[in-house]
Amino acid sequence: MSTPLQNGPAEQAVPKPSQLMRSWHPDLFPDTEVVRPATLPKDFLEYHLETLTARKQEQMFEEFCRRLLEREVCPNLKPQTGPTGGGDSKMDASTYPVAPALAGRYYWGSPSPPTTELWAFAFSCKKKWKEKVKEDAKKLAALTPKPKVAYFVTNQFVRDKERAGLEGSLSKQHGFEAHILDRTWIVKCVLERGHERVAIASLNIDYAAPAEERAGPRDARRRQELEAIEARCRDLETYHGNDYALAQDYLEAARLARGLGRPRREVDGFFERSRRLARQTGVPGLIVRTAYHQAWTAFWWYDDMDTLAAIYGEVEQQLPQMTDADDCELFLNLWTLLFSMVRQGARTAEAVRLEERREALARELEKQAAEQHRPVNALEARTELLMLRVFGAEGDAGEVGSILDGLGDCLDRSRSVGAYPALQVINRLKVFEQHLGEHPRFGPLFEKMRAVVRERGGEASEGSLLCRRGGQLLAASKFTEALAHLGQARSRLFKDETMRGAVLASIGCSHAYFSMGHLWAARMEAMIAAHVALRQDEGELFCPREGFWAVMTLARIDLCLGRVTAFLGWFETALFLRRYQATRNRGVKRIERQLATLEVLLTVRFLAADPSSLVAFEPVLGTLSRMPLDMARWALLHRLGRTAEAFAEFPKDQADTPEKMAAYFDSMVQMSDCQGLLPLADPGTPFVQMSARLLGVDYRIRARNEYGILLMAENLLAVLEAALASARWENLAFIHDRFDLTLDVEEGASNPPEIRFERPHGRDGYRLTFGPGVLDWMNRGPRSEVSDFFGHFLFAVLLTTTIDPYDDLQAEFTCWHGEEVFSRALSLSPLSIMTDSLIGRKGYDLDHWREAADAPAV
Amino acid sequence: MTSTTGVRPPTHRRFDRAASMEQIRNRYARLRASLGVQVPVLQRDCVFTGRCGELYGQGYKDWHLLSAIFNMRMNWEFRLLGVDPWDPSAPSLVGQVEEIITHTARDADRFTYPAEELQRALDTFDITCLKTYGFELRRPDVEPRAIRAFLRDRMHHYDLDLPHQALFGSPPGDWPEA
Repeated sequence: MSTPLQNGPAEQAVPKPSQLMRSWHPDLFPDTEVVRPATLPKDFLEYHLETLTARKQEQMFEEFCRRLLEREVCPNLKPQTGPTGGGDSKMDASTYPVAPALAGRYYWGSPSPPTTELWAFAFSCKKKWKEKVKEDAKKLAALTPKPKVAYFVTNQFVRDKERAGLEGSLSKQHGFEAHILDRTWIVKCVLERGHERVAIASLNIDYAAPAEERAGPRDARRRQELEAIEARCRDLETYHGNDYALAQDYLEAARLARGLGRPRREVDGFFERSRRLARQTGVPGLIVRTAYHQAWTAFWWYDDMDTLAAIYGEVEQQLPQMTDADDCELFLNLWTLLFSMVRQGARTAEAVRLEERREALARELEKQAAEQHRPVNALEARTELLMLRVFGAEGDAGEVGSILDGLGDCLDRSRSVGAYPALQVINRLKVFEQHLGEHPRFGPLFEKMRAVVRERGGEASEGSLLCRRGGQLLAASKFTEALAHLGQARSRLFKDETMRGAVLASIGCSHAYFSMGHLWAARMEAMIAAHVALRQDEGELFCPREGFWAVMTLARIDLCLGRVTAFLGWFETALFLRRYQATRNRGVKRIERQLATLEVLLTVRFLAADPSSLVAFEPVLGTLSRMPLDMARWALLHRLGRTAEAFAEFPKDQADTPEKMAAYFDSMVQMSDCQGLLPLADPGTPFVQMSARLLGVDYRIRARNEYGILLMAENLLAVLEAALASARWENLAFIHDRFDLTLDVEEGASNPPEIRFERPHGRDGYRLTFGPGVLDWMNRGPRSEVSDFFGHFLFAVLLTTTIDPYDDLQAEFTCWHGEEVFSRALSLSPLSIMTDSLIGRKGYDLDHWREAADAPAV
Repeated sequence: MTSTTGVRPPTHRRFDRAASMEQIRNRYARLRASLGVQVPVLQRDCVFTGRCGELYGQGYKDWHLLSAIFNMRMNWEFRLLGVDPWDPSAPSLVGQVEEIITHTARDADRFTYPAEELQRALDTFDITCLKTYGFELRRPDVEPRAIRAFLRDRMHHYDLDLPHQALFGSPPGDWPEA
């Protein structure tokens, strides 16, 4: 962000933005040291171009021109072969058509690139350049097809007036757009745009040498990364039509090129490609982010306010599509630059529509700040709103006081909202200190900043220690202790700045629960890990490797629970992650081994299941082939009695008769531990039975087979398992060995329903009846109301199933509180938001997989 | 779709062996005074002792059986007097009923048929014991099977007794030294 309250233009000379940025962030600029400057003086180059024919270097000149034009005009140039000096094809180079998929990956020097049309190029070293150009133009005009654009490059000096006149007359006479590039253009291009190496190598200039540089560690890394990205982008296979990933890569390339101090034309070339691809994806967040970085770079690196203002105008219609305060923050950052431009007198407020844009931004932020179901985002939006109010408020002490108090309140609230980026906010507040530090309300705000930094720093360190210890205990199979440590680690690390640690702690918790047999709780933690790990951070997945492991865990758990549709959802996500990692040149061997393991597990599941239960899965046969999960498909066909079909597809080097195939499958089952496998759940029944056994009690939930109700049932069981996983059984007297609950949905019922387990309703047990909008309530209802509901459910179940006196229960709950059991079990509900964002309804819908069979192969 | 844990239930922290033994001792002492006439009648009935043999096999001890017998008698005697013992407005006849039980005996048949009667009395006694152990029954819908399981597994309710030959065994034993 820029400094908000800079003085007006008359008061002092303001340094250029690029100077300021270099002083604040030298790390963002090149650290390459020039050991010896380039020795290609301008007059040397001009002389060399002047005397080309004397050295018979016409052909070298043609090659040089082509390479220069590839860099400066269009990359799809095809050299013409033929006798020297004229050639058979009447032009020295021409464009070749480029597939749309490739066109997006090229830098084009023209706003309307020649991806499909013909452009022709003629190069000449003749002294009488005008005659030569006219002669070449005539030849080009006679071509079929006639080129749309013609470039004439000469080694001679051409006066501007002469050039313009000739370009006009040639265009008029021959019906193509004519351009003449002369020695002045060549020299400027070579020396100002960094093409010395091209000139020296192509023209064989032996008395010159390019600059000798010693790359610093940052530039060495940047260069390596940039080369890797460029190599990936050149390979059409890499992205499989994934414009999003390609746009991200070009954005990164632009930032690396910027860091390397490459010419602006090259940096903007990367930005333009990134933005073009972003527009193709239609993803508003990506469109805004790519534009934002170009505008930010234009202002802070090239002191270019026009580009900044123009880009703001281009993307401002995307503002209402922004759903996250993070995205709105990008607009706020650019808006503050507009504000400082106005303050410095560089633009008028009217010219950049300063107040109108402020109001639009405030409207969006206010909308988000009111969303109670997203407390972190709401708090972030409120913070951004206050930041926006700061600009222009400096003369109003009352307003400034109210803003500073508001920011202090945000920091107070952030103490219970770990994911809030408190440290980033504090870093931004530090900038205000020099302008607002004298205000009486800044002192209390500063105290809060101090306290938050101290708390978060301490908690993060403690969280890391707990996580490490939890990992050791997990490795030693001390699952209950490991869970206590990892659960506390997760809650301490669940902060914007230590979120990766939180993901690892969550994966650890999931493994601990899984080892203890608490599959629903294990699923909940893995879901949290996957949700956080796979969130987007600047358009990239936050930690895809950890996300993959979480998704693998989820696939295994759902398979253990007999949920084939959910398994397919996770498997598809895992396939996406494999592709994601592959497009980033990251190793995928281990990923592929894990995917193969999952396929074996599904295969064995089908082979070990009762054939009557498999009929329900016949619709997924097509999807299994598409995934590809071929072995599972053949096993399913075989178990459905369609052995001949299975054998027809089965690899004959594995089994050359149906009997051998059947024996192969039998051996797979024998090698696996299929004892105690739960039956596969039929996804087509009106009610789905889910259960958990905890401390001698069977908790059985019969849930209506509707997406929202199923998510509710999963969440309730996960909360119960998580809370009771580390409970001291000796302190709880369970007097029921079964707790049956039916979850249903009814028109007119309210969300949340009142929890009253007074008397069971016959064999269906207790009932909780939700209203039709239960999913919406979980995802969008006030977060505290949703959390309270899960907490009340936990207490109601314990009061129903135990006979311990209230005082004993209270003492036990106090211990739980001390061990942060409630935080571990309840703090991250509802899980529905995570499920929705990770696999959504398809994980619960057999019809989806029936239809998905027709989709293209993954 | 089930996740499971198969762990042996631990003894509940409210279990106190010494306190339980003391309660058992007190029960024998009290019941010996109340059922001194009734017990010999039952000891002579081979149908009743046969039923008791089954119950001993399930872990029941004499103090469980004697408590159930006493409860059954209390109910009958109140019924014979035409008084509902749970009616707060009814005159308190507990003392009078205890006198009757102490000095008279009922036929063994009445304790044997119908067979569920004795089991029901044992279940009622189990519920009473929960309260004695300090628990709170918050719900009316508890299952006797679950209560028995809890008392057996968590409170050693069927493991403890004073050393003696079973009162309704073969041959019949004598009251333990309380």
